Amino acid sequence: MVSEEEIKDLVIARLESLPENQKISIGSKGEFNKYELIESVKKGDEIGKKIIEIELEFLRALKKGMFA
Amino acid sequence: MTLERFMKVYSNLPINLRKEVIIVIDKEPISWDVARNEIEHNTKLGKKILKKLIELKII
Amino acid sequence: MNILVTRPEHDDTTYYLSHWSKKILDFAKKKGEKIFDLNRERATKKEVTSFLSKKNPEFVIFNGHGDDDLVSGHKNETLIKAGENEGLLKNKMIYAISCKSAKKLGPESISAGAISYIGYDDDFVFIYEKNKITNPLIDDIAKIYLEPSNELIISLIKGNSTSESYKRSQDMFMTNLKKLLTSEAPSTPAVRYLWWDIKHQVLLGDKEAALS
Repeated sequence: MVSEEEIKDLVIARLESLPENQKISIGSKGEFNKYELIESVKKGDEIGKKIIEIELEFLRALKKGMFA
Repeated sequence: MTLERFMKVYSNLPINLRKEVIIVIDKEPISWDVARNEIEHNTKLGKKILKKLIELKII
Repeated sequence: MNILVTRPEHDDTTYYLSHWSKKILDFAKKKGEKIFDLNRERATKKEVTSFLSKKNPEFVIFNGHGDDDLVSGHKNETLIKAGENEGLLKNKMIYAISCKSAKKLGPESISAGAISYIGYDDDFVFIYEKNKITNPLIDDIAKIYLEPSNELIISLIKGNSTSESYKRSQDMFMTNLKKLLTSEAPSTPAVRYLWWDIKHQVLLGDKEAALS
């Protein structure tokens, strides 16, 4: 069974690739740099949960071969 | 069977996504390429990776 | 045709949406369309209500933030909220880049008589470059998200149906996504957020509706 911590570790590792000079606009929730997003994922707040959801949806799309 | 399952997903991955982190095991980030090598050589790490990838429904 | 657009600019996100939307307005004006442009402090409930009631625009574009049951304007003032005033959208075609509004406001607007509602049923997400904030139109990262959004509006203004316009927007999103996945593209996290936006863009109502 994959733990919540393992999922967070994965998402955080993937967030590290976001360039320093870029920010992400997430709807009405605001704009965030990668450090803010990583912090949110660690805390498990609303933003963190959204980022996890986006990452997992993308990874599962890879499984389905959506981008081949 | 699980190697086939992994390779089916891996072979359809765009080339520039294969260096992305796909799992973190014991705090070590593992990319698709690293995962492939471990799984193909049937290492203990490879088995761990496969198990986690299946549980996460990534393969 | 008459087009009503809201363009608040009170944070980075709305500033980007506003400037990218301005490109469309320039296109529409050249085509001879009548534009009611509620920019910055004019993107208020009072102004929107007045224009919707008195000018009766056929096409309404909501830039800005939102929630699943509302779209908002300047400083996040609620403009249209499900259960309150979605009836103002009766007989109109709507495009809302306001996040999530297609989840609840969209269907309720259709029930209240809106012709069509294209929007997003979850957060609209995009990446932008911090050093381009003063000139969003030269931001090539943001472009990959906002150009497909603009394509939808351009297509509707050209008189294509909602389904055709939706398809063109989706196709452009996918084209941009696939460009980022070639062996010659630098690895970028942009792809996952593009995929998210593609999956959450929805078309509600009359799929064959078109602006005259």
